Amino acid sequence: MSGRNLSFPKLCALGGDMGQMGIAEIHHVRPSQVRGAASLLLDRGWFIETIACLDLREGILVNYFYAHFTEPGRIVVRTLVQREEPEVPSIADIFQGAEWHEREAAEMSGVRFPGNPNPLPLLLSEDEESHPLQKAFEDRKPISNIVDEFIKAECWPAFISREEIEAEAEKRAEEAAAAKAAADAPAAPKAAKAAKEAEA
Amino acid sequence: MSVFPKGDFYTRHFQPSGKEETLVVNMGPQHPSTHGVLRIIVELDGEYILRCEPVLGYVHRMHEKMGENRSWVQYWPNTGRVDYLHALAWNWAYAGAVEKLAGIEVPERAEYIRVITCELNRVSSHLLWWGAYLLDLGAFTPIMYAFDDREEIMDMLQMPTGSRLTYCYYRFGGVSADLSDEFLKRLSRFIPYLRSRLPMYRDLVTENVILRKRVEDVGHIDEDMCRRYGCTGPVVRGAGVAYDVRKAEPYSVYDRFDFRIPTYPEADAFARYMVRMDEIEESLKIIEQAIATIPDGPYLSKSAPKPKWSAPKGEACFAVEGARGKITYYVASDGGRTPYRVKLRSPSYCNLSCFAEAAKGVILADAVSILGSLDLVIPEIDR
Repeated sequence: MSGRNLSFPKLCALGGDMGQMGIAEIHHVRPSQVRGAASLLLDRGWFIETIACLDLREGILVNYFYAHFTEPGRIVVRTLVQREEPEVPSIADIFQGAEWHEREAAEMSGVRFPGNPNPLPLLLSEDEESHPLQKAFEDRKPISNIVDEFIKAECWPAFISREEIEAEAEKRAEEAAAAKAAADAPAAPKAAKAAKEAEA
Repeated sequence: MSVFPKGDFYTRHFQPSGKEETLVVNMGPQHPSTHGVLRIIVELDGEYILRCEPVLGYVHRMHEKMGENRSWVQYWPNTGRVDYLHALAWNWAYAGAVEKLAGIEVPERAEYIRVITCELNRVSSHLLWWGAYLLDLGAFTPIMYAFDDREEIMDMLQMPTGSRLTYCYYRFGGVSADLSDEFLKRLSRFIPYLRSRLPMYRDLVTENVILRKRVEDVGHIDEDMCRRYGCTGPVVRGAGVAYDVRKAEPYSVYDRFDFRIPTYPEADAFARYMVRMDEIEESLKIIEQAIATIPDGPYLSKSAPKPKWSAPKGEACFAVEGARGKITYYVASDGGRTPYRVKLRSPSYCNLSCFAEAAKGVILADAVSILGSLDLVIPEIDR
């Protein structure tokens, strides 16, 4: 569509269909490119709808939703951050409304937004330390479980194959079994002793 | 010296700016003009607001997490409890997102039923806002008139939906019950009645100089500010931008109806007031056309999902125009029993985020006027 030709530094633009999924374009960017995308979109008159984080096996996927007052369509800018270092530069000085969306994403999903002018908890209690929207390990799914088409090397630098996922899950299960066995081991003699006493 | 620390977490972070003779005041969370539990920390210089900061989360219920541990169908009642004044719009946004994700067809009659009930709900929401806003500004009578009319709408909506406030009426692929002839008859009697009331409202309130003095030239929120904060709905239309999801991304059967988007370029509280008053008339116009052309047929699709149904994998986004602005649902599914992620974009949340900038430098009494003109529903902000 005209006027939408957006050229900001990105990994790739892939997927999106307004009729099918309500998203016209999906742009994959690096965390450092989020600000460039935001300022270009503001120049072109787009406004920020919301920020939604998805907790995936590969990391945390941060989605920025943009819409326009006169043009149809919705643009999603998404970036993947690693769980060890979940940091995306804040865009609160470009879109002031993003400040609250970032604060919400920070407390819910545990993503940090350096540069946010007021990084306090917004909706949750101030002493809440957990992030409610982070999933347990076994509930985390790889992106390929949700969408097919994004599996493209340059789009998805953190691609994890199905074999790797299975291997990781197996390793986890083994570790859990070993830990359980270790926990049960000291209990066993005690139980035997108790049985002996009962017998006596 | 008390053994307890002074203030709470938020007031400790909100330190006075260092100017002399300023006062930090908590407005809310139990303030009558905040319509719920919204708290605003204000730094005052005499009667003027130097800066302020809203504190949210007093009625936070974590609808997004609830979406992740309920099945798709079990999540329905939550949608009616996000915004209790325009619950059907939230119903619709969820229905639309999941229907888009799973490719569920909606029968034509169901689309018309949705339009009629959603617009009726919008009228009742605007009526309540009108009464409550004037109550904030010191007029007691209008809310009595507004509730009188709203009562009739709630009685009518009770017939098909079975509830009076937190509706859970839409289903994937249609609605849960058909509109009865009695409902349609009563509705076609109600439209001329409400139309005859509107000039009285105008004479009594809109043309009243006391109201004009309180709302005109107060709380400027212009187009640029709307863009930076993501304000939608009557706020952006009061800034002269004809942005309405019903026209911008026509969903359902809205493209078949003739209605206009009221806009006012003044960008003040009065412009937002007028947008809402005009929208009542436009909604009545839509309902009238929908009643005249509603087709026969099923109200629920034959392929409508059963209770244990789960959506196929994928992601979808769907936006509707609520009474307060653009409501967007984003759902992501991995094909499992529950949604993988549900994201709610609530319009009041974005509209309130511009309050700190809009209220800078105004008199405290005007801040109440600005707050009311944003038409906030606190459970929708906190979700």
